[in-house]
Amino acid sequence: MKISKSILGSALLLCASFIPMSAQWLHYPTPGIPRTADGKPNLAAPAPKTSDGKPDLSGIWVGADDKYFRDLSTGGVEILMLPWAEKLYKERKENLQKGHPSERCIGHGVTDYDTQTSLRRFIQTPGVIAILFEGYNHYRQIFLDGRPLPKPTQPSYMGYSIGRWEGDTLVVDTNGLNDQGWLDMNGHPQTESTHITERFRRRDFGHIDLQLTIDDPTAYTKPWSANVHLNYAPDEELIEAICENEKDFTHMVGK
Amino acid sequence: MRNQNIWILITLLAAPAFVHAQWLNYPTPGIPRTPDGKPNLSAKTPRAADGKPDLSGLWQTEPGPPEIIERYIPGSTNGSGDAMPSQYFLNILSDFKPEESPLRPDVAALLQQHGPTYNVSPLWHCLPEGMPLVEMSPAPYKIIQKPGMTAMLYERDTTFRQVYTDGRKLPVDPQPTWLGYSVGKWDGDTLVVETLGFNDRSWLDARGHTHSEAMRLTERFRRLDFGHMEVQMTIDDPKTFTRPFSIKLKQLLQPDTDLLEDFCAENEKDLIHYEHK
Repeated sequence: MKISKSILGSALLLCASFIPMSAQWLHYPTPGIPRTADGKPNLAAPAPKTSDGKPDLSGIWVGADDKYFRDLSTGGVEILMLPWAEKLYKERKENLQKGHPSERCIGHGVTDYDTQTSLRRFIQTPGVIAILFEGYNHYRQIFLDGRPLPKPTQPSYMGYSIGRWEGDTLVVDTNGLNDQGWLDMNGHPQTESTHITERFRRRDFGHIDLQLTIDDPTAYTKPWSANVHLNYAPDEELIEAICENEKDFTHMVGK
Repeated sequence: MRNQNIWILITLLAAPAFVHAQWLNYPTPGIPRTPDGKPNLSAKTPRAADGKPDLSGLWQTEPGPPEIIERYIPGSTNGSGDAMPSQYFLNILSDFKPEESPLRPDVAALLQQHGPTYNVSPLWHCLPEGMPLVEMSPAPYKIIQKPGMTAMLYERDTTFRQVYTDGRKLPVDPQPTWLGYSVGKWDGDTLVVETLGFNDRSWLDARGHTHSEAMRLTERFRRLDFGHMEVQMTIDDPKTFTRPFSIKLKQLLQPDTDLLEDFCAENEKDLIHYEHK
């Protein structure tokens, strides 16, 4: 019974965020992508490269499965929390995710945007990757120009991200996060000490394997990782999704 | 009149909350510099691989002339260092004498009757500024130009829009949105962006000039040199204006800084403290 309530909570939040999802007014075929003889996108084609020989992550992507969006421990990841963090996580989960920033239209942070099953566009340039999220119409930047992570002075939901290439894997480090964001919908805590490492590997044209590693000794007893997947979304476009339902939070009843 | 000035100030203050939080002072890589290391903003316009001007960079609309800004917000240009807006941000019809205004008489009468506070600004609810206001804001935005698509990332509300340059046409009856649907093409060295599909909820300026869903916006981006861009905006909305009209914005490259995260929704609780008639 509790589980179904929790799913209902997720469903409410999902509905709150993706209202325009069914408005498929954009059917423009994505130019320049590999296609099979019958014209269908060839998602098993090799991963494209940029002119400097690095994998090109550009394109529209979608989370393959929203189970990690709900909870990063899905699939057997062991997340050992310090007592305060465990207490807070349990409270949030048992309270049906009431209090999540998305109910006030603030949206998501690094890990829950990564795992969300709504569209996002990667725009890769030599110096920066921008990720445009359909949900909430937000974006995030990852600097690739060799700059170091700054000493955080102004914590934020999205933090500050730098990336570097390890072979064909883009390794992104993020700090400067605030303690207001939740790592997933069930509420694994994020703190100002949270360090997130994302390892993006574009396996072929249509698939990215993404490993998320959380290191935060103020909340977790040891670093932990979740392995998630992104699928290429051909012939799609982002639709403007401005969150206007901030009044909904008054209706979130909790437990 | 006094109320109106207060309103404008509130609008300005509500938005650039992070203006003083300069934690990002990493030198912008790859920009031309003079021998003393300062950005050379009069260097020539960079070019993309296809030979077209490359508009990429961090830009911000130049503040209006102090004597005009003073007219709208008396005492504001006292050297406090706050970012001042363009005169068009304050009043998109700033160039017109009242008797030459392109505002339709029925729309003008409504505005006159109710004043700019006849409706609550979308910003008070943390809704978007929308186009074209967001591009005139006293806040930076980043252009990322790629073949087929140019993205604009706005610091305001951490929001973005996409301009398709892959040859597609404007959609016929798009779902109305705050930022519209944009396609662009090159006219010589000028990127011409046409946008339609707006909702009728965004304001054109802080004064409260509204528009209809029929509005079409044409922007002409011309990067004059490394540090300067001219953006001509033409607004065509026969349900609001008697004729199309244009404004010309000067935009300045912002070196050695970057965008900050800005979520207005944190301040959404402020709404109840605003007074309006």
